[in-house]
This record gives sequence, structure tokens and C-alpha cells, in this order.
Amino acid sequence: MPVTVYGPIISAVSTTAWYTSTSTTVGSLYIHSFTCDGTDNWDQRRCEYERQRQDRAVAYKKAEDWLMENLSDEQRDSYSKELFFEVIGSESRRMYRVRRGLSGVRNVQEMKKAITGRWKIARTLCFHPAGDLPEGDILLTQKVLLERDEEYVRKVANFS
Amino acid sequence: MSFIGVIESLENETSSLGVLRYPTREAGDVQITWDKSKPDDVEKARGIFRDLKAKGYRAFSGRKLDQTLSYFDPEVDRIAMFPPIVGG
Repeated sequence: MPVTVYGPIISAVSTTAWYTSTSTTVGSLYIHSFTCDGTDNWDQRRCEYERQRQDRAVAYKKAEDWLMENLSDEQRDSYSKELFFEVIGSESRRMYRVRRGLSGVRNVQEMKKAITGRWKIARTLCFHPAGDLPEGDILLTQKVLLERDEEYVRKVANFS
Repeated sequence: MSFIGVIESLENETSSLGVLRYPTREAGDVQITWDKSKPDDVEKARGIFRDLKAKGYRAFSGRKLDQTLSYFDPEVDRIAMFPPIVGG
């Protein structure tokens, strides 16, 4: 069964006893295809593991695409360059910075303007959607809820 | 009609299909599509909406997900639902 795996660039070509594979690189995307021959249980377990890994990688890619679809131009620009975007809370009009790379753990910062006019971190919020979701989906949930239902977020989140 | 008018009319044009999207661990976001003219499709989408609502999901609609939905509206083109949040 052909399987395509998306992931970081780790090798160009690999062939082992339990599967045959070919790898190509398109831009920064590593594409790894292999064929499970299913000759024993170990093969099947490895194939199942690879299939799950592939599914997870596809889910991450889809989540990232959905997030990008829903960011404003400004947010998308900031997210691409600096790995965070800013949202305005629906009730308080406070500004929050939502960061990528922390898997939804303490990745939202409440910002405030200092006397100097520069923005600084006032507090960190820790909240995330239930379930082990891909990071793009976590960030999108945080964005939409802060922008549309900030009061709910502030009731549930832990502050530090 | 001016160019701006054409763009506005295209943006306001309603589709015959509605889409409900929600995130999952296994498959990223799942998309449920219904044909607004087919009652079976609508009921199926309504059932999924209800199930998710019962699990505490919040629903939003509109191009910028700027409207909160408390009930399923089959005439809406785009619905996104997000799971309840927990404090970390």
C-alpha cells in the first residue's frame, strides 16, 4: 500500500527489509513514499505506525491551512514572519499575542502599552481546546474565542 | 453595474451548499457539506451540529466567523465549530 509521509527533511532515500521507499524534496517539504509488503507482524506494526504518523502530518498541514484561511492579512503576515499574531479581545478590547511553537501551553500573552509607548507582556494565559488537536487548530480556536467570546476565555484560562 | 458592485454581489451571493467544519485530532478539520435543497442532507448536518453542541462546542458563522450560532441554520453557507476550552 503506497503511503506518503510529510515531515522534516531527514534523509534522501532509504530502503530496509520491511519496506521499500523513495524520498523526494519539493521546496521545504519532504515527501517519503514507501510500500508495506506485510510479510510478518512486525512489518504490519511498523506500517501501522507509519500510517498513523502520516495521518498526523496531514492533520497538521490541514490545520495550518485552516488557520491561515482565517487570519487577517496583518495577522498572516505577522505569523509568517514572527510566529505570532495579535488579536483584540471582544469585550475588553485588550490586545493578546498568540504564539506558535508551544503546542497551546502558555502561548497567549496579554499585552499592555508601557509609558514609553512600547507593548509589553502583562500576563500569560494558559488555555487550550479539549482534545489533542494539531497546533493550527489550537491557535485558530484561541483566536476565534478571544475575538468573539473573550469573557468565556477569561473565565476558564489560568493566568500567570 | 460598477466593478465594486460586481464584487459585492459576488460576495453576497449565497451558495446552494453549506459547509460545517470542526477540528479533530486524527484528520485535522472535518468538513460536512449539505445541499440546502435536500432535506436529508440538512438533517444529517443538523444532527452533527447538535452532537457537537451537546459536547460543548461553540459555533460561528460568516466569512470572518464573526457571528455566534446557538442553533443550526441550514441557510448559512459556512459554519465552524470549536471544542470547549480548558485551563492549562
